[in-house]
Amino acid sequence: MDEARIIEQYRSPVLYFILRRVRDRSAAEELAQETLLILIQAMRENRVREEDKLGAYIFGIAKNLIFKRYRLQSRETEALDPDSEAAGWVNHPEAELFLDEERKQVRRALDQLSDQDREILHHSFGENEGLEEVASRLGIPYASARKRKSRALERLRKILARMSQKGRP
Amino acid sequence: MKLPDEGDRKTQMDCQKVQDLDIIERYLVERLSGSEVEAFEQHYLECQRCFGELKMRHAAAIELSHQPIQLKPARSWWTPVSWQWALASTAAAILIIAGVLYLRPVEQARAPERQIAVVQQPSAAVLEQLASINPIPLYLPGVVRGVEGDAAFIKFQQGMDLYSMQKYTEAIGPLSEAARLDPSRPNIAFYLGISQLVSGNADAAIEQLSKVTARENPYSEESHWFLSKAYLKKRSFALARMELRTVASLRGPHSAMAQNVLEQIQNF
Repeated sequence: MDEARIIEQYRSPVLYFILRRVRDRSAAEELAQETLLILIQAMRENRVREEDKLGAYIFGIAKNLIFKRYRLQSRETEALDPDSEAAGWVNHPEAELFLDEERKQVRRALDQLSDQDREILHHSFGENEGLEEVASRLGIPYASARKRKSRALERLRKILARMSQKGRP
Repeated sequence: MKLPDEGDRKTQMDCQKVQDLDIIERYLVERLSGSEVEAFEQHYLECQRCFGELKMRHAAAIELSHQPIQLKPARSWWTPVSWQWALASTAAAILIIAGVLYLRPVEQARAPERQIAVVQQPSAAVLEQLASINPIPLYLPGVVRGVEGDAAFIKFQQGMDLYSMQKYTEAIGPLSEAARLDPSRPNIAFYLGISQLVSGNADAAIEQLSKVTARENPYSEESHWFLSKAYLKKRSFALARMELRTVASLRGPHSAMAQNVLEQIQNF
């Protein structure tokens, strides 16, 4: 397994996973780096054999490191309880910063969607409504809401893929 | 707030479940149980597709929550107008329709020809360019894995020494042996698949690269990309399109190129 490939593939999801818990970019960067170093060291020492279960392994390393840090921090400050999960994660400033590039692309892509597509995505994502509530609000059957949302997301994906292709040199 | 767990049973997660159970939205709005959160996090840590989807939906959630929904004003087909205006409009419409019917050339009376999508056959030069393996993936031996007695690793190293010298056909032998000794390692199947593809054995390449894509691993995205190349070499355009759509959806390093090739082969 190539180390460069490991770092390239896992850096971003590991950082997102940790950032969601610690809510501090510089702390999350340090913990993510430490996580990947521990992973690579474990692979060098042949302690990781099943390459297709790396997700579970990384999860364990990262969570352990977060708990250790939290135990140190809680003596001095009121740190975020890692188990309080994602209180307000969607619109947290750190999340908004982390997803800055994706947001720019999504913003442009949303403008290209039809009203119907934007409406269902707005209710599903912007107002955090469950699909049952969305269907009820729009006055359509649940199955129709599900289909409409699925198609809207597919169209959003296609627009993003096209934009990504145009943006390349 | 986490929802109560369903006992200590560990939840298994895969891409299909993520889609079928609306896992991403429920994760973002904290409507998953503790075991579901854990299972999904372990999954997206190793699944580029689901992580890419998570980022996209999270970004959409942020943008949509910032923007009030602005719909274009609906046009009602019925708006109250004065009776004089209605009468004048109707009269004008009747005159226009009559004029069109009277003046329409005879040829237009015939039913329009049915447009049948024309399937194009690509020229050999175009196909060769689309199916070319350029660049051939480099081997970066950053990690020295394997211990003494690991026969698969020894054979793999022999194969990759040849691969690194661009002796791809000669590399097939030791890499095939390594794959036989340890069929579980995606890196062996990946480089064996590439060696087969570069050596002109598209079927054998497809067999190996399909093993890599059967599960998420760091070689998945590239394997889908080179599978599309193998299918293009075999002129299996439907299968090539399927692989290219997967690559485009993963939004990895080959996403833009995949979209480009898709547009070029859409009529093949």
